Amino acid sequence: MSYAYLFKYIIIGDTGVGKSCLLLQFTDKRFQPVHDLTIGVEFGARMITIDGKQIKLQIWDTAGQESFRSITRSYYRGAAGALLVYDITRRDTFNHLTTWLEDARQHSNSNMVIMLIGNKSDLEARRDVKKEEGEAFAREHGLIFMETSAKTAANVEEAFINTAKEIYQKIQDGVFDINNEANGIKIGPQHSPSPSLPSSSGGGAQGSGCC
Amino acid sequence: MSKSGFFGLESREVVRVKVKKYEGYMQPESKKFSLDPQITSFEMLQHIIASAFSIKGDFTMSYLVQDDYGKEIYLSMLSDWDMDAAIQSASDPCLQLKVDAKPFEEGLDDWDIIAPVDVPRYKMSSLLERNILGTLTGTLSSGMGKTLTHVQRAMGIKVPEDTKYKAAKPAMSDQEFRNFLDSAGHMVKPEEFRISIYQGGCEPSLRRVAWRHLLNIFPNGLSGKERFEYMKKKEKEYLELRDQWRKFTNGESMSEEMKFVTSMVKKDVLRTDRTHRFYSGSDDSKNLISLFNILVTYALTHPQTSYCQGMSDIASPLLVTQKDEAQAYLCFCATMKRLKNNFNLNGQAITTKFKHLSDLLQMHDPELHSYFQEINAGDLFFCYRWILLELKREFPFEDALYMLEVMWSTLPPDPPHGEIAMTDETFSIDNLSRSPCSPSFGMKQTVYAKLFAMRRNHSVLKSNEGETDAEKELAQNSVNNNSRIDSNNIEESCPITISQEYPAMNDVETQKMAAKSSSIDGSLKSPLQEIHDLEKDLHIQSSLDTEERCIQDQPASDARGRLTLEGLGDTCTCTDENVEKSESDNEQSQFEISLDDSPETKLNTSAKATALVEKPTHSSVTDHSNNGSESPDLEKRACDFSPENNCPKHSSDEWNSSVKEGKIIQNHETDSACSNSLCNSECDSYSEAQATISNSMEIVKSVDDKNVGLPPPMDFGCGNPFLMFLCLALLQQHREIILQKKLEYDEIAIMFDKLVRKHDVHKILHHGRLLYSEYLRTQQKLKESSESDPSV
Ligand SMILES: Nc1nc2c(ncn2[C@@H]2O[C@H](COP(=O)(O)OP(=O)(O)OP(=O)(O)O)[C@@H](O)[C@H]2O)c(=O)[nH]1
Ligand SMILES: [Mg+2]
Repeated sequence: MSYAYLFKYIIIGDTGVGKSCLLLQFTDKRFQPVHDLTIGVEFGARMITIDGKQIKLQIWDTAGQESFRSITRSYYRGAAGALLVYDITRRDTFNHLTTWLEDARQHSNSNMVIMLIGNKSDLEARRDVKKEEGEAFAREHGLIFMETSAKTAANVEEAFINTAKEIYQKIQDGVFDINNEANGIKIGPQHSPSPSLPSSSGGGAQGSGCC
Repeated sequence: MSKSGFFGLESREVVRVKVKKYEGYMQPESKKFSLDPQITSFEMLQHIIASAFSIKGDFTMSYLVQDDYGKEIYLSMLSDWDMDAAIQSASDPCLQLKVDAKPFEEGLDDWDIIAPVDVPRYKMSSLLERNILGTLTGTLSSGMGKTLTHVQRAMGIKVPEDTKYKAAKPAMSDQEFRNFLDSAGHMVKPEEFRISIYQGGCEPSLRRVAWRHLLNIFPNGLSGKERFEYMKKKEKEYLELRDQWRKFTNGESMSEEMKFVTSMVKKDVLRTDRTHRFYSGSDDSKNLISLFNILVTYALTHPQTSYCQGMSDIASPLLVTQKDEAQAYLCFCATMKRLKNNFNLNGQAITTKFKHLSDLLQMHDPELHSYFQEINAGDLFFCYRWILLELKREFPFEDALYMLEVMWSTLPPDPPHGEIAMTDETFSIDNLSRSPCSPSFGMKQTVYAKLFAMRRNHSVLKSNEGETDAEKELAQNSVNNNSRIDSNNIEESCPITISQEYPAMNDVETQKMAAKSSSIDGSLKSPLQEIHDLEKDLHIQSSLDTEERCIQDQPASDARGRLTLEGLGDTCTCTDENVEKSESDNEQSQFEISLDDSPETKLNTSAKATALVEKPTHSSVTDHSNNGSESPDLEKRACDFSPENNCPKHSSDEWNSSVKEGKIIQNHETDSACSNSLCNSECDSYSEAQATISNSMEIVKSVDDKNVGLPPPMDFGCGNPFLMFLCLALLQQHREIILQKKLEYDEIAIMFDKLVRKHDVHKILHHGRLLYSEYLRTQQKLKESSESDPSV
């Protein structure tokens, strides 16, 4: 269970877009067609490997509905990555992205990596938002973009891992202050929390296997 | 049965016991013997005593301790637990027991004889009477315990692990239920009814009827026949309301509010308890549509509350139990009357509950509390779902039903004045028939409206007390609360503006989309059309249910006998390692206290009606004076619960309004609000007395300290103190893992998330009841000491 880094993620977006399903697919590799609607915040965790390093992702899955905002907002702070999810079969969830983004930018640290996700890509027949629209929105707001399906697992791993890669890169670049836990990054127990930046890719690979 | 000591029994090797037996008019008989607490169970002790005095019938045992005033009193011994406490607190040089023997047949008949109605209440508070009451209730449970023991002995059964936590009483049956009604079906013993539910819940077949009573959907004083008429009338009203909005749901004519609500509710209904067979059918099955209708009707007729996620979880068990849309709607309205503040977007009620839970944890388990602080989990946000849904999702569905009814039974009866409201005050049917995007819908609840509502509530108080400091402060608070709301929170506090919050919602395209939204998911295809077909079934279905049978049948003459036979609890087997930190007591003490407290006002209602009106004034004034009390310890705690931390004033308003109507139930609550500040010295001497009973009983001593600072039941947990104790029990159930493995915030949260629907209801209720009864006892003590204070 030892890890080099721990990254905190938050998943946000309208209710019903599939946030919890994405998380479940990522952590448990399964799809539950009727997932409980999320009350407040739920949690998940999984170990991944980047650049030979074990990285623990700690993921906070928030409830999409307005009434929980006051609670979920408190989770922005202290997140290194955010998955902002909409449902490609429901345009309103796409239209609300601006609000979500404003909210996220306002309450998080400025370095937070945001991944835009158009979910339910398996429902091509009911598509309501073109892929190009998602790409354009992402470009405009400086986000990474991907279409996923929590049902078929398409791109789910990639979405979580690419976000981690981006964060990892920012650490390498010295953008993130990794000694400040408010940034959503924690150095693993086997690393002594030294003020120096961690060694780059040269470091020995950790024991493999996820949690 | 493991009975390694809860209180460090290891230190006591052999205990000398002196027993005095009383039987009718016969001379008391004494005997002495020694027992080894390591190997003697309560069951064995019963056996020893039965053979020592050759008692053939039933008997009760009580043990001698010093009470908080230094007087000697007998406490009933009903379980291993009590026995441990007795041994531990045994007055030197020996443990003194009193045995009251009775002819076996009498047994449970005492149950009815001691009903509060028959015992003058004012006597109850005297020690002597309390003792009698204790003994009598002891008879009840010892009767159960003994019988069980007999059965077990006969069958050579060892008590299996999981029955250890079983309720003190079997679930209420149809026949037992009739005992609480008179021959015309009037609910004549609402308190006993609740106490019985508290102890063992009710049989699934009775839920449909019992819940209607528990949830307060009936006004007082209805006969069975009248209740039936009432239900029919309300059902009709509901269907009218429902049809009003359904007229507008065919696309174009829908208001924004309606579009928002219907699409939201639909998403959630499709994700609510779908693993339960009741909802497991296709996405457009009848039961799902009923749930949908209930939630939409409620949201549209309660514009101040509208729909929020979590409501479907609350409505779901009601529909499963009522099996009828209209009746479930009534139950839902009644439940929401109490819970709507949980969904209030300013989050005040929830915040207060978190605060109370955190304070409770600090008092009962400082170690766990400070560990949470240490790992920045002090906010306890991982309990959010517990509090919002009142633990509904934490247990397997059927177990949750049991937990819910037990929890509801702890709430004071609160029958509607007149009829139960099916819409909120601001609703008028015109709202529904307005054209789309009607501004009246958009108004929902502005900050101003809220402020206004608060002011209105204050003027209710004002009529009693004039402009006092307390009130000014209250008003001040509400102003502060509102002025604290930033622009984001304003959105939060007005659900309807949510749709306006997104600029896109107002553009033409989105409006088109929104109009489509009801069919967007496709999965719940046109639920609204489906309804038409269902209507007939729904309408006629409810004509013959248990309730009606109750009316028709005369109460069976063997009802009590049945109760006796069924009264096979296993109070004597509740050995609970998980609650070893709790005081040596047994659930029965709750029984004692409930009998002692809640029904009191009921009886004296008319006499006290005028006096009661003044009480809120009294309590709110002293509430404030708490802050200036002399005892530093209490002062600190009193501050913890100062008004700004209190629930949105609604709960007190509810209490106050029931006070006005002369039907407040637990007047000890208003009393004890005052007593906090009045009884400081008594409380101190009380703890001292406790300390002298046994220095080694750290726990017992601190038990009373632990609860002393807690707010009275009307305030604690915003009027649902039992929920707070259940949450505490849930936390404590896992404290060892958390502390030993030094789990971090996310690990704790993940652990509890994984435990969704997996907690053990019997363990938790068992533990929760123990904690709760301690709390009530402290409240009782506070009340008594304030009463006995001549300066009051
Ligand atoms: N076809 C398809 N359906 C999906 C997919 N992801 C989620 N769903 C469905 O969408 C519904 C909602 O998904 P959830 O994961 O519960 O949505 P959420 O975003 O967590 O919603 P809240 O918890 O209310 O905020 C689920 O019941 C699934 O049936 C997907 O990739 N493909
Ligand atoms: Mg979710």
